[in-house]
Amino acid sequence: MALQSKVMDLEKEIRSRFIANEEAIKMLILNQLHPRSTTLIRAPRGVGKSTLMLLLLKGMAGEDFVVVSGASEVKRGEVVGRLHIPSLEKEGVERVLWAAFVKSRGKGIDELNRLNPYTTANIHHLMQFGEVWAYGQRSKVEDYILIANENPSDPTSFTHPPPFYDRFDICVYLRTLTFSEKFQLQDLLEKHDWNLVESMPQVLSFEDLQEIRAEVADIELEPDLIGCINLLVRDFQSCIREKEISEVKPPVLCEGCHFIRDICGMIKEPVSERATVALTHLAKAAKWLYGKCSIEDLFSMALWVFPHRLNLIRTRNILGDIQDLLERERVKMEDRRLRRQWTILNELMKGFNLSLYRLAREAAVEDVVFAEELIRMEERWISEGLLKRGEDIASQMGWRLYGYNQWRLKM
Amino acid sequence: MESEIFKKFLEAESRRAPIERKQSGVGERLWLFWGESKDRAEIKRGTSDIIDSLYFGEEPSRTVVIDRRVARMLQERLKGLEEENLRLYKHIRIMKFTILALLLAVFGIIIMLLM
Repeated sequence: MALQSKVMDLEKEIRSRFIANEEAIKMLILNQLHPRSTTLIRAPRGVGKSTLMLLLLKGMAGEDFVVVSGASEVKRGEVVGRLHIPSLEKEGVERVLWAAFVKSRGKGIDELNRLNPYTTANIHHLMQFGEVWAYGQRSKVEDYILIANENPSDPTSFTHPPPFYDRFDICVYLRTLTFSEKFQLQDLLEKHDWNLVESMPQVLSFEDLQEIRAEVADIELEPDLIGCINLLVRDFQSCIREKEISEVKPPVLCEGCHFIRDICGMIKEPVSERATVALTHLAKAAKWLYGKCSIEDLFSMALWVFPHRLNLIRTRNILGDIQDLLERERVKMEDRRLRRQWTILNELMKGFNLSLYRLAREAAVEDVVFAEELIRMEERWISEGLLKRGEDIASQMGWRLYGYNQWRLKM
Repeated sequence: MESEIFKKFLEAESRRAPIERKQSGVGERLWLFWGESKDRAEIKRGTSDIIDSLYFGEEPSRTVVIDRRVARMLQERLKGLEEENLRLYKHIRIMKFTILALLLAVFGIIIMLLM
């Protein structure tokens, strides 16, 4: 419990220096409790994204952190490493001096959107493989905390590739302060001599954090919670017309589709499997810290896991739009339970039964995710001779799922 | 091969929202029922007969059943009440005019006496 109370203290210290955005702070803390945590903070200018990033880095890494800024001219030598000229001149050996950013435990990137593509590519490689390359030499990067921030509406931005953003576990959005909160901020600034970061103590040592990360990794989640995570992500991915590999994207792809009014019809680019990993990490962290993690908690976490990973067909306000989709998803999950979909699937997995199969077909025409599972089972029943090709729902509805009911190697 | 956690998830969902199977008397046919679960509709107390709620003051239930004859009776009763209502309305109007005429007469007599 000592470690849990230290994490609570960290949250308290940050909250005593940062007004409002309580849920974002809570989520930022939870996201630090797994190895190689990566966090993105998005906000308009002047809302405090850099301050929040520094408060977190200071609270967990003390002075052992380096911040590179996209706003300044950052070269590869400053982020990854540079050649040691005396060694080259005297001994003819190419020795690389690895940058402080690589070696430090706490890594901060200010104004990520302004970072040049070459530096971004190096950081992308660091996040992907846990290593950096310079002058043909490789350096392994130990466990770290990486926190970046950006202003998405900054006109002087580079457009970074979606896979790069996908490497960030969560993306929290900060809001501007309300009228009364502005007074609170002024009081705080007066109290801390107009420097909120300077007085921030190191609440957790990096060794504490690594111990916490090991404990969190050992936490086991209940099957229904894991099921809910997988279902949530799958609902934000699935498409009976396979938009992932289709050249034509929604809404054009959805014309005439049976599921046009479903959640899938609102998503142009679906979330990746990393969303599942990020949600699992957060759920484990919540269970470790608070002793529980409910399905409602998962939905509030998903709000910060999805925004930088998907593209909607129409975006007015990304958080509001995702919130709407999550509310629809919550209703859909309950609807599945009322229709006994998973019970029917469970029974069908034990053996083919015509009455249950008929019920399953009825459910499948209303639910893509369930249809995918049924089509997979139908293929097995066809190969076992329990069902004839043409009697299956996939043939009748004209649904083709890659890898299931197409031409396959019969080996 | 299915994942063990996936199987456990399906088992947990089956326990939460079970189905019951019952063999029918005719042939091999199988009847499927939704079992007891949290989503079962809550049965509220009260009468479903409109006559009981109208004449005996019982609280009506969520759904009230009405028979054709009862409906006809209520229709007749409503028609009678509306006619009664119109008749009384006419009486009230006549009474209003009478009161007004009497008031004017009393007022006239008082003025005449004072003069």
